Amino acid sequence: MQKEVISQKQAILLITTFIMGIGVTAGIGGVSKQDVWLAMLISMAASTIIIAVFCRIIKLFPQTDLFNLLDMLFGKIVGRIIALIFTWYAFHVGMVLISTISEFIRIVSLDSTPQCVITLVTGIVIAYAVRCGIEAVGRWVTIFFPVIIVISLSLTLLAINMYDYDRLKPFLYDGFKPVLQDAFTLISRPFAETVIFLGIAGCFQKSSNPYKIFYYSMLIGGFYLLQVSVRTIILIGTGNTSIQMFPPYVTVRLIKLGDFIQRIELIGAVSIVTSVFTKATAYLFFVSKGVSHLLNMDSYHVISTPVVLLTAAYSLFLFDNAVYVTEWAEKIFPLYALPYQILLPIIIWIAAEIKARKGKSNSGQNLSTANNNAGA
Amino acid sequence: MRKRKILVQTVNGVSKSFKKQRSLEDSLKQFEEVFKGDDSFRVRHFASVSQDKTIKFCLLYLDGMVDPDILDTSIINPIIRTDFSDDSIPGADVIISQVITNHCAKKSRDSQELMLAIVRGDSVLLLDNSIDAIIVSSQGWKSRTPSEPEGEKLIRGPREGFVEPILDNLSLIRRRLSTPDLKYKEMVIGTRTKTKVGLVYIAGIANEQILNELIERIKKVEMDGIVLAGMLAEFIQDAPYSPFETIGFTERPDVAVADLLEGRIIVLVDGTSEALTLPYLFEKFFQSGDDYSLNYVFSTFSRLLRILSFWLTILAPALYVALMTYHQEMIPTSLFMSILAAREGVPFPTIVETIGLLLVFEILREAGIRMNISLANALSILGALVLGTAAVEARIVSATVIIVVALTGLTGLMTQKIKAPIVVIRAFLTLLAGFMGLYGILYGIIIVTLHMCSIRSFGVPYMMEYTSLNPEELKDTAMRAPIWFLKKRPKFIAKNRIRQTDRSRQR
Repeated sequence: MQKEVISQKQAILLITTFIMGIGVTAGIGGVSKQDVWLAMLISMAASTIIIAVFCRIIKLFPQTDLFNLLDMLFGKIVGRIIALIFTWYAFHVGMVLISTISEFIRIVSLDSTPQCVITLVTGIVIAYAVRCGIEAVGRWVTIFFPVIIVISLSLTLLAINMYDYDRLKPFLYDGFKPVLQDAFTLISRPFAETVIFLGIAGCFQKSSNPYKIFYYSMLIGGFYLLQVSVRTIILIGTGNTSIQMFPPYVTVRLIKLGDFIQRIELIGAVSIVTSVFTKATAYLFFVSKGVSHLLNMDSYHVISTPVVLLTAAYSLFLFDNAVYVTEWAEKIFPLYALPYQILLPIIIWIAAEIKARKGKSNSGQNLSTANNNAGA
Repeated sequence: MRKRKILVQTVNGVSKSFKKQRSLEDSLKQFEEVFKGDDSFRVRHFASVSQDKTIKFCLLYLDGMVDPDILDTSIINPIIRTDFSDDSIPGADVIISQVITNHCAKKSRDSQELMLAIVRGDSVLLLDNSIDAIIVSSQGWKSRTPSEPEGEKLIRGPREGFVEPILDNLSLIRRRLSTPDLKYKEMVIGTRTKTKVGLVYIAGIANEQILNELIERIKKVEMDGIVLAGMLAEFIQDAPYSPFETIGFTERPDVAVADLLEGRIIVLVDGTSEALTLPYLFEKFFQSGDDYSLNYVFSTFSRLLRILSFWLTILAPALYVALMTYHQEMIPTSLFMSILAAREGVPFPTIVETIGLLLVFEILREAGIRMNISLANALSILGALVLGTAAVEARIVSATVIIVVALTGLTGLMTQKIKAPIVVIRAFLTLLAGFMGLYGILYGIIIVTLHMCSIRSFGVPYMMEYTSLNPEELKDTAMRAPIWFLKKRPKFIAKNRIRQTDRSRQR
């Protein structure tokens, strides 16, 4: 089987789209309200630290997947237990994302279609994407990324006559605490979520620089989200933002250009669904790779369809309703994701540093055998 | 086991070989046995008489396949006039080197080779008392003169097109490409047809890996006969189940030469006027030879128009169904009112109406291709008047749907090269639109684009040029940059990527 490779630019676009995939629910700025832009900037600044850890791990062991790396660092047993934990996390978030997409579609337009039909179709499409392989998805993203960006920017421009900049005031009315609280939420979702790209890092082109990949995507994705959240606030104000289920979607509904361009929120939905779809695909790549690694399979393509359909099926039972999803995403997720996004990566990083130092002092012997293992 | 044996026998339809005899009469009998029942098989006896002896010869050929002049002037005439009195018995080598005046003659004793030569239009000269026979090149049949291919007309450009004999096509290419680096590798496919297949490439530009892969794939083909280039293409192309073609076809030698210069490989198949070009990537669907002779602004515009019509032709019916069924609020109110007024009294749901009319359009198109040209008037009356006007007036379909289908058909005619994928994708998207509205269309497009991104043509990703994000490679895709900007050949396809110097145009 030929090794899959995605170029640096494709990786940047993939991770950027992944980061954009948060914009569906009311996740952005639930507490900080009009100061969401500050929370966003703070979270971007803070997440540079944890992202540096991810990049360092990739830099130390390039061309290696997280799973092979875990085997190398902690041995077969402990490594596989950690791999199992990570896979569970990705599986769980994958479920949440599939249920988010299908809930969103059902609520905003197909209200008489049963949820399970939408979930199943979404699952099939994601399964196909995972089956096609990371390389195909990397190429695919380069086609859809410009679409998302063009849609979003044109919506921002079309709504320009309705902006009310006073809605960004008063600045820090409730003090600094809500801002920090939101910044914390925003670190865990979406910036530190990029931890799952450790599982795909083996596919990055040899010449690519992980720091560039992660930081560029964080900056582009971060400013995209900043633009969306500020647009939402200055269009409909904080009060409306907090009561709407999908605020960015609702803002698009307001756009009206003459008598011809009106009610174009579905075009906005295209960018939303595509970005969340990319995010779910990335998570389920991770799950498929994890499962195939745990079962000692050669390739994840075979296992991808059952894994994704299983995830889709479970997503039906995960939440009772969309409100619960939002609640979970805002309140529980940041704490739930803490070990996977911050604790475990730091442990892996420390182990990797030690291993790399040892490898260097043994004149690269360990490293080469380790790489051989990884290749096998 | 038994079944398989029979299969091998039927595929492997080679006539039995035999061991050629020394005596002229005996070997003649052998050949007559093989060609029994073929009345065009001709045997010409003649002899060279000198003072002391008479040496007998016999010429075998198939009537209609040979040029009689060649037989007369280069074989029969010289042999009859030669005086063999000095030699004891003239061997095949002597006759080839001293008597026969044809440019191509060789000796052989392999019965298979001799039979193949006769069948191909060469003639075989049998000698008395010799185990060897002589194959003399004498092919002479009519072929049409190169004319501009109907399917690939250009506004500006050469008016020549490929013809059927493989070597004529090679000469059409070679006349435009005077370099010894132009290589031609001939292979034979088909146990019965023995079709010649020629790989044409430029050594030093073409990628050897692709070439070796191609040779391997062609060697694997075991079939009784290849009649069309398309049959060979199905055997050797990647993603064989995909509706997208990963091997291109062209009937124009100038297009073939341009492809060769980009590092692609041309496969000529004897007996078809189509050449296969590979690797073939998605952007080639939207390129036309005219793009390079017309102004670059205009070419870019027409290319964008082709890409737009590709999207329109697969999306228009799906969007109509989705908007009318699920998302009426997106249609401007006044427009929606008029569509609704047109739909009043129509008994079918939008999806049935649309798919039904699309089917009617496809039937009309297929009928138009297959039928006699004198029936064209009848078809257009039937299509336009009966199906169009009458159906609308009888309130069986709405006028809007006819407009949508007409737009679909028109844009589809513009992108003829991608016909197969378009028909499949259009039906797929329309069904999905009826099922899930715009989200169905979005999912459908995601699946289609993912599929296009995942397939390859001889190891080269199908969407490489669109998805590489490299300005160098985007210059000849959706836009057509001025020729002097196209400094490099496509990645992976060509080994040597530089194609012009920086000085080729002073700016």
